[in-house]
Amino acid sequence: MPRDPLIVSGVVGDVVDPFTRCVDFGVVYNNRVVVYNGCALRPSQVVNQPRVEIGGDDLRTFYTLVMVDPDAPNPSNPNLREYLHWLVTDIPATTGANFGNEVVSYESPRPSMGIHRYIFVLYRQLGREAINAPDIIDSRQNFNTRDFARFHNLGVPVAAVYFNCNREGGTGGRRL
Amino acid sequence: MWSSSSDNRGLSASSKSTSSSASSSSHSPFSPRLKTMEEVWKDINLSSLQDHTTNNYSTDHDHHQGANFGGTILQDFLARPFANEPSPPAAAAATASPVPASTMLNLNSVPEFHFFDNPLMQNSILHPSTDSCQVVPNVSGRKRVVPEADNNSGGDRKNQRMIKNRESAARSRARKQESAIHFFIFIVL
Repeated sequence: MPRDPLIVSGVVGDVVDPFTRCVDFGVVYNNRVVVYNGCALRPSQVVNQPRVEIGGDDLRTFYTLVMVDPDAPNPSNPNLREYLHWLVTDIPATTGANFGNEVVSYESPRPSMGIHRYIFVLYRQLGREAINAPDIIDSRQNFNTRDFARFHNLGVPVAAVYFNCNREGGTGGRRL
Repeated sequence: MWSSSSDNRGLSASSKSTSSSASSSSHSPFSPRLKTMEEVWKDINLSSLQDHTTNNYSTDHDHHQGANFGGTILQDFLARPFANEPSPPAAAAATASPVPASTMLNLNSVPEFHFFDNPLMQNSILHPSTDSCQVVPNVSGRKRVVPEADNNSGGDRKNQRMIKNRESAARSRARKQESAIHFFIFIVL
């Protein structure tokens, strides 16, 4: 039985704690590129925000979507971990991110050094508008998904997916 | 030629030997070092061994003859703990980084002041006296005296680089493993 890619890649550990997937969750770029764990996408493919589809069955259940890059600016030296690319709250089940409240707008991944992981994490909210103000998210840098979830009582994630991305012309090589 | 200067043993000694000079005169190009060495030998001879009539020899003989005669003196000197002779080690140690005490007491190694002196001088000292002193010249002793400051910082940088390389390799293996997982799933399903 192969290990879970989320564990192998270190997503579980670096960004989130171990969890059990319980909601269908799909991320598609440009209506064509389906994101699966560990797939390699080019920056040109992920310029615009993807279509995010959430499963479930009850429209009264709301979800929060977080997209972070834990390898900013460089996987060998991730001192900006995690870099927040997108934050959407109050997404009703069975719908998509378009129906939610975009707290932090989507920022295109632009990795300059190394191969970065870009992780979508889905949390189930306890209720609607559980996350009121875009509180104290003054900077995308050094975001902490765990703390954010704990602070807003989001609990453990219900789903996650990630992809790899590096600079369009190559990883940028090693710079001391 | 030699007979004319045979009366003055100091002069003949200085003209005979290649790089050593008389005890009091300073003719050789290595005189500053040599004077220190001479003083060191004098200190050894005068202070440590009083039964030997070395005073005359140390002043009249040239350097290598003093060493020859002092072959036993050298070994006796080396046999004594160096802690009792603060001046000669101090004179030599001032010019060098600390050497572990074990090497100082080792009879088979050259005394520590040989490490830090001019290598030409080192050869001149040891060459005539190897048969009597049974002291093995340890030219590689210089390796022990390498200052650690530069090496450590270079070593740390190398270690850092190695660690980062290994982490990068681990990430690469993880990515490779994931693609294998997906291939497996694709094939199976």
